[in-house]
This record gives sequence, structure tokens and C-alpha cells, in this order.
Amino acid sequence: MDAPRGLARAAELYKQKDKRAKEWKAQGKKVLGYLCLFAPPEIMAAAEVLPYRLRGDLKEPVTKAYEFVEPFGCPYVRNLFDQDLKGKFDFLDGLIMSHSCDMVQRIYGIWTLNKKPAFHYFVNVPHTPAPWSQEFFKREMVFFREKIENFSGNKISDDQLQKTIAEYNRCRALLRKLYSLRKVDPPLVSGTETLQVLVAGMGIPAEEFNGLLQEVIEEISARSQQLAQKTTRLMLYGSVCDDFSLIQLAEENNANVVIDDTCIGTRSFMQDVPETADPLDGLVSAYFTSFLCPRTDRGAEGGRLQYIADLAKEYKANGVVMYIYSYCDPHKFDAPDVKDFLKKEGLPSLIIDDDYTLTNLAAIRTRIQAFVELLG
Amino acid sequence: MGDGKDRNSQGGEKPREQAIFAGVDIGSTMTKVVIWGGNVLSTFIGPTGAEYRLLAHQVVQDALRRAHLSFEDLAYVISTGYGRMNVPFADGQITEVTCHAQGVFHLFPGTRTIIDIGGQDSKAIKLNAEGKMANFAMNDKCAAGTGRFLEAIAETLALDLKELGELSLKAGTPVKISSICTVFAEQEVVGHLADGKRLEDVLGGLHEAFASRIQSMAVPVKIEAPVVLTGGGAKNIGLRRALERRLGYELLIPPEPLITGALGAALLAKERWKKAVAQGLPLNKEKRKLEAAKFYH
Amino acid sequence: MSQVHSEMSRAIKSTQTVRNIKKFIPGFYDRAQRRKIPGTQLVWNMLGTGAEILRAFDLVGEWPENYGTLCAAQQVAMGFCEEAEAEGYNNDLCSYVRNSFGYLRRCRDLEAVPPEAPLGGMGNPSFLLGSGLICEPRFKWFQAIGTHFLKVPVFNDDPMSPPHDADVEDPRIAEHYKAQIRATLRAQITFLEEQTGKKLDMGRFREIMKNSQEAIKYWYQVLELRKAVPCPMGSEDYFTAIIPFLYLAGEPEAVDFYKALYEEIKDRVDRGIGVIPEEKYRFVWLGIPPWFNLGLFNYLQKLGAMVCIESTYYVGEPVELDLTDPVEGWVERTWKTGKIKHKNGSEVNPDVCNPGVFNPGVGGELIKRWVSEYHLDGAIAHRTRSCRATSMGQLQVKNKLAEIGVPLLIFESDMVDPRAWSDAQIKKQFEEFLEIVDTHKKNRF
Repeated sequence: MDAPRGLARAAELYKQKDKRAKEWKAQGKKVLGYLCLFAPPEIMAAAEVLPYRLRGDLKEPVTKAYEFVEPFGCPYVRNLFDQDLKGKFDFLDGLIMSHSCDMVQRIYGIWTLNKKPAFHYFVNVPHTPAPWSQEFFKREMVFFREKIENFSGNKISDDQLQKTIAEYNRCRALLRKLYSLRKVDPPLVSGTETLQVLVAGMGIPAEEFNGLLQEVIEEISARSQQLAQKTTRLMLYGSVCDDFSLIQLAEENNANVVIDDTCIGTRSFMQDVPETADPLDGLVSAYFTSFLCPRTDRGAEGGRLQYIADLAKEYKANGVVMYIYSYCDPHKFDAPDVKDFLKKEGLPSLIIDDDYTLTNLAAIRTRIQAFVELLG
Repeated sequence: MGDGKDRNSQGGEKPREQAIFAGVDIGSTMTKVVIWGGNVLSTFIGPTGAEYRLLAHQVVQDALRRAHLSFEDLAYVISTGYGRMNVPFADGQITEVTCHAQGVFHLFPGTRTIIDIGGQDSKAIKLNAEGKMANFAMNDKCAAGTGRFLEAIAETLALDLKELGELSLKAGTPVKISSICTVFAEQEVVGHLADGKRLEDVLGGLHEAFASRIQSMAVPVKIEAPVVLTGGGAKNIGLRRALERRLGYELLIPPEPLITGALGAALLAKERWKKAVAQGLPLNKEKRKLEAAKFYH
Repeated sequence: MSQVHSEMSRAIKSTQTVRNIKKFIPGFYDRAQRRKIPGTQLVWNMLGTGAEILRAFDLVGEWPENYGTLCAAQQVAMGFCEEAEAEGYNNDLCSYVRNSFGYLRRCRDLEAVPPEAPLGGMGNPSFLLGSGLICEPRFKWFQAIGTHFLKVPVFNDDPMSPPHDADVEDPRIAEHYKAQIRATLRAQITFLEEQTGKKLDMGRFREIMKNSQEAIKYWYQVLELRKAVPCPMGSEDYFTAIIPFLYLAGEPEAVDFYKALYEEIKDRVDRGIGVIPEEKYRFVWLGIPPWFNLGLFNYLQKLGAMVCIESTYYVGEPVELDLTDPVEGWVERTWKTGKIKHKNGSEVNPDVCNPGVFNPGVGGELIKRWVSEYHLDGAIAHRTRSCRATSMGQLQVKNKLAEIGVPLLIFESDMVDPRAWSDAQIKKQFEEFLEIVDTHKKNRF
């Protein structure tokens, strides 16, 4: 039987996200799990380590984690910690975390001291992109590279790093191309399908992801049948969304999710890593200085509001679903200003406050459906 | 029958030129049905019970019987409310937010804000000048600010809900209840009564606290008069007065506060049907039968 | 139970010095008057930036987080929190923040200081000086104020702290962190020079740092003296006594206060005087206290329970500094105290590097040592849902103490929002905990 290709392969990888990583390990190679996007995967990949972005499990109630950590703070991170305690990430050779937010910073110690992964490292990230903070982050990149060299036993030359960055930039360009197919109405690919592709990329080597993306783009461009015409085009904004249940809910209710500003969505690929003489400088720029996430202090106005509105308009969204986790300080501090700004720009928004598991699915469905009815 | 009157399939009198529509509002505690044919032909309210999927069709049957109609007389059916996804004989589902907006604006043209206080949730709906929904806010996460809050207290005090509201009106100096959590508030109430405070004063404070919760919930929609109060909460005179005191003006109450969602659903059924006729689309779900749901959403 | 019903709402202090704190630091309590003096610049500040720097620029400060504690004590915080929620700020957010946002909303809606605001409000700041240290709500706080409420310049400093597995003895790592601490301090100074039009006077700054060092030495000694049995001072005094070092470090008044307090406590220890005559239980306290119910410490004392030391705001061992270059001295102080706290276990509260020598919580290792040094029977932790920065990790400490047979109680409410408090429930938890401590004591001896 032929191996699945394109969207079918993405769907398969979505269901079995760790399959490729386990195959990689079986070949005697190393895999490192990581949380959030401040520790550049390019550095790990340049050392022939497979970077594996940890993914939550919506269906698995958190239990073991509560022996060690409080039942508040980011529910997504608690979910990941719980999975690790239950052995779901035992195939990893180590864990990389970064100072993305308070929760990850605080849990790093609790997690590593209780679960005791064989290898662990924390990339520190300043809160304000001032010049000295950029220098700090550059030094963090130097230390991180050394650490990965020691861990993997492979030297990461500038040359190798530049090649890896170029490969990852090819992924980014292909992802932007894929997204551009959602600008038409109806979009050529659904939000649900797109998310599966994004999640598929979380656990496979960049070269393979590039191949998969090319297949998917070809397949979608050749589609003879359009997706159903719907009344509403939505932007999904907020915390990490790595399960398509929420998107599917919207798409079952006369809406298409056509664009996002989320962690494994556009935030990870809308900009390339600049290909600088010292490759670390490019990484500092893309992963810190220009990385538009509310965990970074960008002064009054947050520096992001116009960007969010422009992105929504570029994709002709007529409404924004703000999907925010319980206890998420960075997003909840910004939410009133984001909502007001979007409203001024003619974009109504709906805030959905969730504990990651969508436990009260009926209530969320009602809100989304009412929002679509309002926009319609 | 030969008397010259237009008869429906059951021999009852059928209003002239009127297609007939049904709105079915399956709430968490009560199921409401409105049959509409130019005006309200019949309404029915019954408890939802634990297995609403098995009972929705029976409620519709009861409503139809009252109007001397049969299921086949219905041109279009819209379901709404908590259980709207499990009504297989409905031609479409619309949220209770939109349905309440429609129903209330029909009863009170010019309404700008609706506050609906149900058994397990409460919501605030803002309408624009044309009566279309412009914004909404909901509380469906916690019991405070819903019917359950008052039911719990009523049970603890062995009073019925009507008494609870009426007694609160007799408060001299309402006692301040500060907890936002139902469990804590209940403890406060019991504590105050144990301290010897008057029941009326404690209930006055309780309704104040409840009104405060409702107001907080509604703040995102920016409450604007005229305000209509619907749902079971509208039947509680103490709550109504507490809200009026907070807002500084009177609230409008529909004659039957529970059916505004079903009424709106029936009116929207008519709208959808007319659009379908105009566009030459299928008018209702083929082979739809008035029966219980066999599958769960 | 509504807070006015709680017998725990008023704290009764036992030391004369703390009771008379207003005489020692009148400026702090009169600050609403000081800012009315023409030409005075008001800065809104927070813990993390270091009080000495305000002193060096003669700035009158106002602290929205301290203001939160005032509003809580005067029972108006709840109203402000509700206003903040009405403005769209979720009630997950820190209640100090929500209190200030509610206050600002009221100011905006009334176009005047709200009548219920204590001290006549928080004044009109010329600029905001915030910090990226301790927790991220801090810098998001002033960023949000600058965006949403007040159009004034905002500067957030950003010193960084190493994670628990960093090798702090490695000179490369040390210089990595010191470079950041130095650069952000210099940037802070530049910002203040721009806002005030004054140049930082290094001589003055040196004197201020010397005062600060002296005040900290006395204060540390006071805390060490609390190891005595019976304990000479409790948390009801501690949580007021921290004010000079948190907000007024560098002022001669702070030195006088801590010196007087040290003398009073030393005298008590010499004479064997404790806060309560019979101590059945000695505890360590973790977390921020419920500012609206500080009387809970007196309540515990009635049950024979004495809190002898607190992990929150713990000043840590003083370090010797070379203040020839006071800026460099500051950097050294931050790094050195950071290293000490790092060694004491920073696995849950890594923000040890703090120019203001503040620490939201100490690590499990230090608390374990305290058990023997302070002769402790258990620990009480206040879990504040709206402050996850200080309450995360209490479970980790609980697990660590369980290893040595010491029980820890976690009870839940909030530091400023009284709606989270339940008198009946919390009293019950205290009573049950004391029974557990009794059982453990029997098993240990």
C-alpha cells in the first residue's frame, strides 16, 4: 500500500505525532522535546537532533501533576507536565524549556526535579527587547549552542547553522504559501486541515516537512471542488492551539477560520530568520527582538495592535475569536486593548476563556454560534 | 366539515393564508414551545428533565394538540437553547441569544438590552436600533447569578422562590453579602441568621448581591434602556426591584417571561422559510418525523 | 463571610517600635501631602527596581501594590476589583493590579479622585518606573496603564535571574547576568535623569547605599533573633516592619527604625519575653498575607501558634560591598544575594536577583534549615490564586518538608480581594492543621 501523502499524511501525523520521532530514535539518533519558541529548533537540528515540540492532550485529564504543582497557572503547561509524569514523553532524550512566561519559568524547577529527565536546559529570555537585552539573548544563544554541541557530540559550525536556517526558512515560505490559499472566499483549505498540517510539522525533520508542505500545496491547488460557502471568516487569536476541536466547532457553524495569530500558527513563520553573517544574530532577531508575543514588553500600545488588525484584514476576516487560557497573564492584560483596537478597526471579537480542554463544549459552541449569527 | 371554514388535517380551524411555524427552546431546566401562525397559536412549557432528547418531541406534540394542529402542518421548525443540537425534527438551530433578541424585540419594539436569568445560566444581549443582536455576554460557568443560586438558598431556608423574592422587599437595612461564590454566600446567609439578623434584611442583601452579579456579567454589553428582563429570574420580584434600583429605572417584563426564546425561534423559523421560498431552496428537512433523538451530539 | 464579620480583620502588634512606625517614617504615611509641594515629581513605582534609586533622585513615590494593601485594610479593594472587571480585566489577574485599575477607572469616570480612595488617592504620576523582575504581571501592569489609562512615560527595568540548574560559580555565567543587571540599571538611571532633568549624584548615591546596607544589617539581625524561644516578634509586626526596607531603603529613617527595632527585640530576647507566654506550635509562613485580615496571626496566637519567620520578603544574609562605584556595588549586591538564594533552592522562585533584595519566596533547602534553626513544628502557606508568582511552588516546599516529617498547611484566599475569604472554612482548616501538627510532634520526639 502506498504511504499516505499530502493532507492524508498530515492527518496521520496529527493522530500519531510521535511516530516519526520514535523512528528517528530507532536509528540511534537523538530527540529533544521543547516547549514554546524561544529556544530555536534550528540550533538543535543543526546538531542532527530532532526538535520535537511538545503537544497537549485535550482528552487526558490532569491528575499526577497535582502531586507536584498547584492547580492553577497555564493549563496547557500543566497538561504537558502531567503527560511527562505519565510517561508519554519518555522517548525523548531531554527537555528544553525557555523563559517564555512565568508559568514555564516557575515549573521548570518543579518539572525537572520531580520527573528528572536525562538532559534538560533552560534558555533565558529577557522581557524587554532593549539593546542590552538583545545582547543578553545573543549570549544565551552562544550558551545554548555549546550545550547542544556537548549533548549531541556534534559541532554546530556557522556554516551548518546557516544551512539549517535556510531549510527552516524554506518551511516558513511554504507555510506562508499555504496560508495564502486561504485568502480567497471560500478558502481552498479549511482551518481544520491547516491545523493538522501545522501539528504534523511539530515532530518531523524540516526537510520532510518541506516535502509534506509541497505535497499539500499541490493537492489543494488542484482541488476541483470548493469548500462550502459560509457567512463568516474568522481569525483565531491568542494562546497555543494545537488541537482542531475549537476550529472544527467554528467550521461546523457557518464560519471558516482563515487566519490566526497563535503560537504554532503564524507567530512561528510569518517572518523568516534573517540570514546574517553570524547566524546567531538572525536567530536573536527572529526569536526575540521581532517575535510578537504578548509576553514581551513593547511599551504602551504593546506594539502589536496594528499588526493584528492588519493581518485580519489581509485575510478578509470579519470577526476575531480571542482564545485565551485561564490564568494567562500576558494575554489577559492585553485583551481589553486588543478588543478595543479591533473594534475601532471594524472587527468585532469574542473572548473565549478556556482551560485548554474545552470541557464546557456546549457553552463554547453557543458563544461561537451566537458570534457567527451576530456577524451574519 | 363542510362549514366553509378552512380546516387542518385534524379538523381544527386553520387561520387563513398563514403558514405555521414552531420554535422549540430546550433549556437546561424547562422546555418551551411556541406555535406561530400570524400570532401565537399556542405555547407549552414543561420540565426538560434528564433526558430531554427523549422528551422534546412530546412537548411539541402537546403544543400542537392545544392548537389543534399536527406536525405536518408545520412549515418550518427552529430549535434553540441548551439542547438545540438534539432535536432531529428541527429544520435548523439558532442560539438562544439570537432567538431571545428576536422574541423580545417583537414584544417590546425599541428594546435595547435584554437580561435573561435562567436556571443554570444568565445572559445579557444588546440590540441595535433595528432590533438586531449587537453584542452579548454570558455567565454559564458558575451558579452565582443564575436561578440555581436562589434555588439553593431557598432550599436551605425551606422557602419557595416566590416567597424569597417577596420577603426581600420587606428589608429594612439589607445585610451586605460579599461572596461571589454560591457556597460561600450560603454560608454568609446562614451565619447572619444565626447572628439574629432579620430574615427580610438578609434576603434583601442576598438579592442585592445577585443583582450585583448580574450587572457585572452585563457590563461588557453596556446596558442601555429600555431593558427587558426575561427567564425564570424575571418572576422574582425581589430581583427585579434590586436590579431596577441599581440601574435607576424600571425594567420591562413580558407577560410570560419564559417563552421569549421559543417565540423568537418561531419568528426566525418564518424568516428562514420565507427566504427559502424566495430562493427556491428546500423548505424543510425531508422526511422529518416528530420523534425522539436517537443520537447524541 | 463578609470581611467586616471577621474577627481577624484587625492586627494587634506587639512591639513598640512597629506600633510607632509612623513616627519613624512620617514621609511615607504623609506622602499624599508631599506630592502636593510645587515642583515635586511623583513616580509610580513597584518592588523590583530598588528603593535607593528613587531616594537618589529625590523622587516622591507611590506604589500601586502597596496601595492595594491599604485599600484591602480599609475594605475598599473589593469595589475597585469589581470596577476593573467591568473594564474587561479578568479576575484571574493579580488583585493588586485589579485594585489599581478599578481605582483608575473610577478616577476617569468621575474625573476626580474617588471619595472612597484612601490617602486621597495615588496622585498624578509624571512617569511610571516598573520592573520585569519577580513576575510578569509587573511589567504588563505599567505597560497596560500606559496604554489604557495614563499617557505618561513608562520604563520597566529587566534584570534576569539564572534557572536552578545554572552554574552560578562559572565566571562566564556570572558576567552574563551581571552585564544585564548593570545595563538595565544604567538604563533606569538614564531614564530618571531624562525625566527629572537631574544628573545622578554618585556621592549621594553612595551614602544612600551605605544607609541601605546598615538598615539591612539591623533588619537581618532582628530576623535572626526570632530564633529565640519564646519568639520575640510575630508576623503581625513583620508585615509592617518590612515597609522601610522595601520602599525606603537608603533613608536614614529606615536605619533608625531598624536599629530601634533591633534594640527592642534584643532586649526582649535577653529578658526571655515572647509575644505569647506559651508557644504550643512554632511555624514558618509562606506567601503574601491576606492584607485585609492580618489579625489572623493574633487568632493563631490565641490557639498557641506562633509564626516565627516568613519566607516572603525575606531579606537574606547581608553581603559586604565595595561602594567605591555605587552602581557596580549595586550590581555586586544583586548578584551576590542572588547566588546565596540560588544555593538555598531557587527551583520554584528563580527571581532571586533583585536590586531591592526582595524575594517572593525562598527555596526548599533554606526552609528545611529553618526548621531546626527556628525550632519549627510546621509551616502555613497562603495560596493566593491571583498571585501565582508567590504561591506556585508551595506544594514543592510541602513535599520537601514531608521528607523530614514536617507538615505544611495550604489554605486559600487572596491578598487583597476579600471575596475569596471564608472565615468558617479557614478557621476549620487551622484547627485541623494544629491537630495534625500535634500528631507529627509526637512522632518526631
